[in-house]
Amino acid sequence: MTGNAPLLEIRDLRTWFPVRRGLLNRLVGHVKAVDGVSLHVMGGETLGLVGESGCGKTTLGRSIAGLERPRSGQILFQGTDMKVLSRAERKRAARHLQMIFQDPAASLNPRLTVLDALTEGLQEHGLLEGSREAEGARLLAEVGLPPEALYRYPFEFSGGQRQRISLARAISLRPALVVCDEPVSSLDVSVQAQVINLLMDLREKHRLSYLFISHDLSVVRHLSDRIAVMYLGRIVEEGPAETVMGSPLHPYTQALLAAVLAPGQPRGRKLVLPGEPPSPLNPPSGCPFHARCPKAMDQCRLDYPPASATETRRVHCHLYPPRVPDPAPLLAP
Amino acid sequence: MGALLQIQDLTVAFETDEGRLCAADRVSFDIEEGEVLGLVGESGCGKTVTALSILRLIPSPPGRIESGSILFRGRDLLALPASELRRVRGQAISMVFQDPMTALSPLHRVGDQLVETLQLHQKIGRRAARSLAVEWLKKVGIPAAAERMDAWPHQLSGGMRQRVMLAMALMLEPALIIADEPTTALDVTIQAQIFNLLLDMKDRSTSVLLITHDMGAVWAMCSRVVVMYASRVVEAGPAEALFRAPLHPYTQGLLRSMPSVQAPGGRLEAIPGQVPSPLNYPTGCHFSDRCPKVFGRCRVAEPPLYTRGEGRGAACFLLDEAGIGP
Repeated sequence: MTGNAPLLEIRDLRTWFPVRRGLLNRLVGHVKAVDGVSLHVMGGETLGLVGESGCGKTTLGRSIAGLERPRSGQILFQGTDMKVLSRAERKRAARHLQMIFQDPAASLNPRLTVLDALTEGLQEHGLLEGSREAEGARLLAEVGLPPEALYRYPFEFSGGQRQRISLARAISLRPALVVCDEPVSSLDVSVQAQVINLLMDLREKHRLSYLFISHDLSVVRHLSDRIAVMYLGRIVEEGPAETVMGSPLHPYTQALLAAVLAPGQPRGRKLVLPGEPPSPLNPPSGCPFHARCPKAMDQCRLDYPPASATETRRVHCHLYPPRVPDPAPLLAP
Repeated sequence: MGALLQIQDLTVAFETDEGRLCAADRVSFDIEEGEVLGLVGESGCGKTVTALSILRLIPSPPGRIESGSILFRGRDLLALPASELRRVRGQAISMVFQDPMTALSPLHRVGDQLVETLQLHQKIGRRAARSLAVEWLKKVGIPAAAERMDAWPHQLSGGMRQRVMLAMALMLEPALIIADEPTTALDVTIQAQIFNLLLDMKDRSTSVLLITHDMGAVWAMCSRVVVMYASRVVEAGPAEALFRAPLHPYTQGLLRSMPSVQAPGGRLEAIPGQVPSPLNYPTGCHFSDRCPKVFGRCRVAEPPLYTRGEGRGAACFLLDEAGIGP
């Protein structure tokens, strides 16, 4: 799919989790895991989403895949708001949007053979052409596994092979977008490279778009066309992968890059950010990063920084003059 | 500077239902005074088993240190009576684990655990121990350290817990710290904080054995590197030289398969296949079934460690100048 309309567009999305405490189970607040995120993914494009644990990147991915119920905002997939669809329509649309997870052992049903896992979706959607065995073997071949694997159970495979199986299942419904949540993080280095290569091959062959979620900047840089950096429920910076990694604007992105440990990077002591990310239950006022930011000013404690954006890049930081405001949310929160 | 710790021909095996599983196969390397040595390899390569053997923490049965010696300042830790070994543990050599939640007691407050550790190893009053513990919590960067003394481990974040573990390991000022994947569960910005702490310790001439699967961490932290693959040491040498021109095809493959933050993404040069099961290692060189440079001899005989200049060496027949080449 090409053209100017994005494949996926997210507008001012909020996914909050209620926090209840005490004998009466009273609502004491919300964990604002995703708090006003706007993003888009074009057809055939890979958007990398980076951030540290607890920043909300997984919740954002799950919200897009329909696994969490957002509190407000819009998710437009292939131009359609998923929320206004009927159940049947949503099911039809959902097959074009698949998700793979960090731990394939947890996402594959241990009681289903690989054959069942791979063809379950096809049967459900009435898309099975020919025999289940032939289709299953074809899918396995796509991810580099032999057809004998069809009759085995997930536990019989290594971590890398299981991730191949979950990829085969994800592409079985011929999706347009695959949300990948840390798909290579639990794999050993030598196997990680194999799965990264496979992700790239499948993307090219099926013209897939990926929303690639990871904490690993090297992996994200390798796979992504554009990169969005998330901190405490919000996108702090977004732009083409080269420029975000090559000349990061937000002090948080700069700090993340400075902390990357890789051959070729400076050795020895790193410049470090003080402290830890604040709790999303109790986010600080103003810019959520101000308490750890080496460049924080008075203004940062008071106001959330508006976007400073160009055609391709966006940063939320008071160091940069506001330009081109966010598109107004279509639905009030 | 001399060697603080010398591991010689260490072999550790486990009895399993499917037979004897050799987790560390004649592993040898030294740790010098005041250096950070990286022990690197993928999961199951034997690096943790090697580290646990130093303090004789291998659960037995099913595990058994079958042969070898571990000399710490000239004394064999494997031959030490239990009472003396206890004095070495914690005081002379301390260990930091990947998951601090399993290493800290969930039933005791953080402060009590620190005080108990201090009093176990030193003649020190409770009050003095407490103020020393607070001091160390501050040194490892825990804010509001005095208040945190009364916290339970579950009330702390992963990064905070790892810092408590570090404080516990550091406050006895050991000669050697064994850090087993100390930052794998932590975010990159917290990882940088922990690594800086370890470098501080090195500056105070504590030696550090950093066990990791992350070549980037080795590059940033270590002066020397030992690479393990499938229970054996395959290469060792100074970090700069090893990263510049790795000798063993496994090390070469490992470095080439890493994605980079700088380079634009092409296909990665992955190592084909997967790490063999310890019950099913190939005969000869354990890497022979995945090696792009394999030749006949590799599949029948086990390559010894061929040494090169600058304290380098690798277990690969390609380095055997006298023998039969490919």
